[in-house]
Amino acid sequence: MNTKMLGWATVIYLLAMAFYLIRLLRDDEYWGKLATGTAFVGLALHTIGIVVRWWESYRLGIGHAPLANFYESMIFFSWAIMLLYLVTEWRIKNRVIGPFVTPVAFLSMAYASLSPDEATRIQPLIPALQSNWLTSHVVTCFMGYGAFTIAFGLGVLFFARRFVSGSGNPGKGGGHFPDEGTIEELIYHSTIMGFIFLSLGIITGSVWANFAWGAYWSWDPKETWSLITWLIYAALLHARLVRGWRGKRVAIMAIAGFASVLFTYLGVNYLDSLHSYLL
Amino acid sequence: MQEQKSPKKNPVWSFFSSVRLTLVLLIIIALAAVVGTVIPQQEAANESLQKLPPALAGIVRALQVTDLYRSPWFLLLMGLLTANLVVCSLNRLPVSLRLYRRKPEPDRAGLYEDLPPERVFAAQGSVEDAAARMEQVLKKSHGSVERKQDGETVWLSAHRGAWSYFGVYVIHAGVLVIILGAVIGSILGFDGHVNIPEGGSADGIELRGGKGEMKLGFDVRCDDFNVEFYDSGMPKLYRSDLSFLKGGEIRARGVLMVNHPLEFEGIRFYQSTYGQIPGEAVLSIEGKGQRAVKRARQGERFAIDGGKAHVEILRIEGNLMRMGPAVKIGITAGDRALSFWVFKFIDAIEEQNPGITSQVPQFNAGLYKPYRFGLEGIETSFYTGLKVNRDPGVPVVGAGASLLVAGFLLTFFSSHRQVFVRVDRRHGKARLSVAGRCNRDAVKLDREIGQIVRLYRGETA
Repeated sequence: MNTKMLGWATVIYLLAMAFYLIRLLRDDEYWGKLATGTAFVGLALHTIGIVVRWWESYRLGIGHAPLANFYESMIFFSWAIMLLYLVTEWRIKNRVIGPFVTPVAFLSMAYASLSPDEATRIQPLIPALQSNWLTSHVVTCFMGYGAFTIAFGLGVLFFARRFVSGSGNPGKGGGHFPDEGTIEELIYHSTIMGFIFLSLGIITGSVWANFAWGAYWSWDPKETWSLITWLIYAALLHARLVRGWRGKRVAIMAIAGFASVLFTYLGVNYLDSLHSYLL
Repeated sequence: MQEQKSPKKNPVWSFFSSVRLTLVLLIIIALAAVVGTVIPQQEAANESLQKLPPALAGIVRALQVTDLYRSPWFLLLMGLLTANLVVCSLNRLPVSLRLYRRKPEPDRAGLYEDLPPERVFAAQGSVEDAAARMEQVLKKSHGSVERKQDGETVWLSAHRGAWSYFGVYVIHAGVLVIILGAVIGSILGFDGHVNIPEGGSADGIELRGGKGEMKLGFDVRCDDFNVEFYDSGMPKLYRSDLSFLKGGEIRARGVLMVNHPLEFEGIRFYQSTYGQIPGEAVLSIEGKGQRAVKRARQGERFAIDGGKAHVEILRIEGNLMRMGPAVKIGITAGDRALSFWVFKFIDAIEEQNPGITSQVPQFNAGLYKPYRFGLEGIETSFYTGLKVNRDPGVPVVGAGASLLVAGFLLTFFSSHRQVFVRVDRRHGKARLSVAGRCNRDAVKLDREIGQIVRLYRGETA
């Protein structure tokens, strides 16, 4: 039931992505409104899907938030991206980031749907995951990943704008794109949000680890990579706030930071990690 | 801060006061951390090193990358970052203090130019009346109001969130306190492991990193260990029932599960692993027309032959030389001592190797005449693997993390917002002009000013 709903959400996100792209290419707000509406319907269905999955787990007598394996984490990652994206769109009243962010949300959903049946079934929790910290840890981490995804989308947008306007001239060209200063400002704001969520994710993870593994920090590869990601974004914030970095450099760091986020999330699974139950 | 002139021209100070250094250190530490996740660390490293050519292994050892996060050079990097953090913050602090203490200048030139029309309005009564009313409004919304007067013109100023200048120091203090907690933990804390068989107890632990054993000062007994599985075969529960004893007396008991550590005398116990070990051997003893069954663990002794001889279980093997379960026992009777193996499948062994028990006396379970020993079986039992530690740095790290979060809130969600009001006489009427200034979050400031204007007009209407 829940997997079917999530499957439909995936298809709807694909549509939204297409509409955002058409809007960008034809510069027609009709398609933009359609895209936003579609994305909203997708997110609503996605949310219901997650809630139903949660509820079904209780009906099976193994109730837990659907945040317990790799499949469920990808579903939530996508949810966090779409939620944060729609909030950002509403706040900046501009749909131009859409074509750069919705693909990540769609790909995460699509990749999740390729998981073997066994992974998509609701599983009971192994002892290590039987903790109240599971939900807060996973939610904060993935909200952080989601915000960094928005910053990444903006970073790509930054260069797409330069490509379209044909030069590095920040003042002119770019048509319906926001100007470089605005994009960079948005990167900064998304990065702050991601940085705070990632910090909270690391802190909640440390508290949990102190109960479960007997150490708040074990230099486990996933812990270490989350620290690496944290350091990269800390460098970005300092470079911008104190060294006065602007524009291109900030956009590059947002993209590099996202590569580190992806490795923290996915790449670490190929290293020997205490987090390996997420595979 | 790069443009800011430091009052101290000390070269060491200026080296550490550079934010460029911060960026370089952050990136180097990140890269070093990457290396540590790729190269096997600690115990896992020794195995990998043996596969390398000796020369290469020597280089790897010299670089200390197999215990990277505790290596002197990594700690040095962390130390440099700490020094950098402290110096930068101290360098910057006077600037923030100046901003914090700066007197409001409500009569500054240009402040009331280009104000939107809704922020400049006429009021009933005299300038003095209007100023007094506005002062009330500001007091209500902002607490305290400063007043300045020059001739007939009155300036009022109020502000909020001046603390936001210090958010960044709170964040940095948080990081420093976390580092302090880690240092405290590594100096005053310890970290080890102990395996306790079901029914057995331990009075010491093995410290991590091959640092030897440590006595706990009390005994930990594992009264029971349970592991449960779901139908799918996934583990459901690991549970150890522990008793803590001092001088043979039970002082505390508790149930230890994953995510639910136990603490005794400041030392914490965590459910970490478990395993199976050969437990009690079930021996049959035949002789003098009697047959007895005895259960004993390795190292246990019992008497036979009416107390004339003592049997000690020397070793218990689940599968000795691929001949199945076997127990080595030693027998002492007066000044006579002998030892031999008792196999569970002795009949099958003799069938395959005729005459083995007479050729190899060690395999002869009838060596102590007239008794003959047999092995009914070995009952495997569980042991529980506990992680044991004490880390007095934990509360410090927790305090640091709280500071960090508080600092984020101050830095990113608060702002210093000043409101200035000029009350003067224009065309014979009192006129109010409301302006503002902030270090960030101009939207919030606009909202506040709108509120003040509405409040003032609502009251006078």
